[in-house]
Amino acid sequence: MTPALVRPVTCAQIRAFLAELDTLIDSGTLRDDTLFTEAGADSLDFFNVLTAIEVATGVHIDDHDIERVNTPAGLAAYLNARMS
Amino acid sequence: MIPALSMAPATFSLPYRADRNYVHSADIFQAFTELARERFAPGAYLKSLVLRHKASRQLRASFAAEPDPIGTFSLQAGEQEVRGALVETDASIGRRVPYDESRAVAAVVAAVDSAAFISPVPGYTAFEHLLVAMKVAGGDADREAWLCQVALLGPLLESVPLAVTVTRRLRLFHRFAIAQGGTDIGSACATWRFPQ
Repeated sequence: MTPALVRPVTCAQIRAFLAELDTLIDSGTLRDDTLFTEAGADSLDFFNVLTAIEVATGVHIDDHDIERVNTPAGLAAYLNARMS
Repeated sequence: MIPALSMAPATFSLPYRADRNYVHSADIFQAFTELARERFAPGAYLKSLVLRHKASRQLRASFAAEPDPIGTFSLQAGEQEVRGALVETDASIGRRVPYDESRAVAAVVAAVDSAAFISPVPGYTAFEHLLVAMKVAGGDADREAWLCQVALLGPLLESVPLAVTVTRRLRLFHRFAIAQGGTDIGSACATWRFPQ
């Protein structure tokens, strides 16, 4: 069971959520502004993370917004701007 | 409790298909299905498979942690789920088998973001039906696409028609819902380029 993402979404919530997913992300190196790819994520991980976030929050992430959600801080800000 | 002997690594003997120089996911799926049934129970099946890279050499299924796997898997045996890693070995592949999916492609019925078989096409496994349906539903039947993830709620049934629906597209990745006989049986993910 992945932890809930509740507004205001924080980077800590994002990290806790990611920890429950089967990814290559090294949570020890994932800081608020670390690119997910720099923490070990490959493109499949990134896809799985974003789609899991979408399911959990109901927020749709557009293709052209990918660069805005490629860090915990960016993703949290994106979600907070769109979650009701 | 699963006996320790069942948890020994298993090295597969996989072929290349047609003109491909990488191992086809249908052969990996079949190898895991046989492994699950032989090691654990006749009804055991491959519950999940993640393929992060193409493999051009033989593969080993390991039930222990591995430093650099090309993927991961889980087998469902009754109430027990067994997880492991898929490792590319140094052993070369010395066998090539013919494969032509054109009859299956011709039989699949395509609609917007979905594809379905009216009935199973003889000569193709259920997993091969799945791959063809994904290609067609994804709109890329003429290109090579690679399965990178599948998660099943139960074993694929060889005698029941299969259908897929695209549930999400994001850049190079598509996710699909899989159904057999009108019942949701899992999901799969494909990409038109392997993860970097």
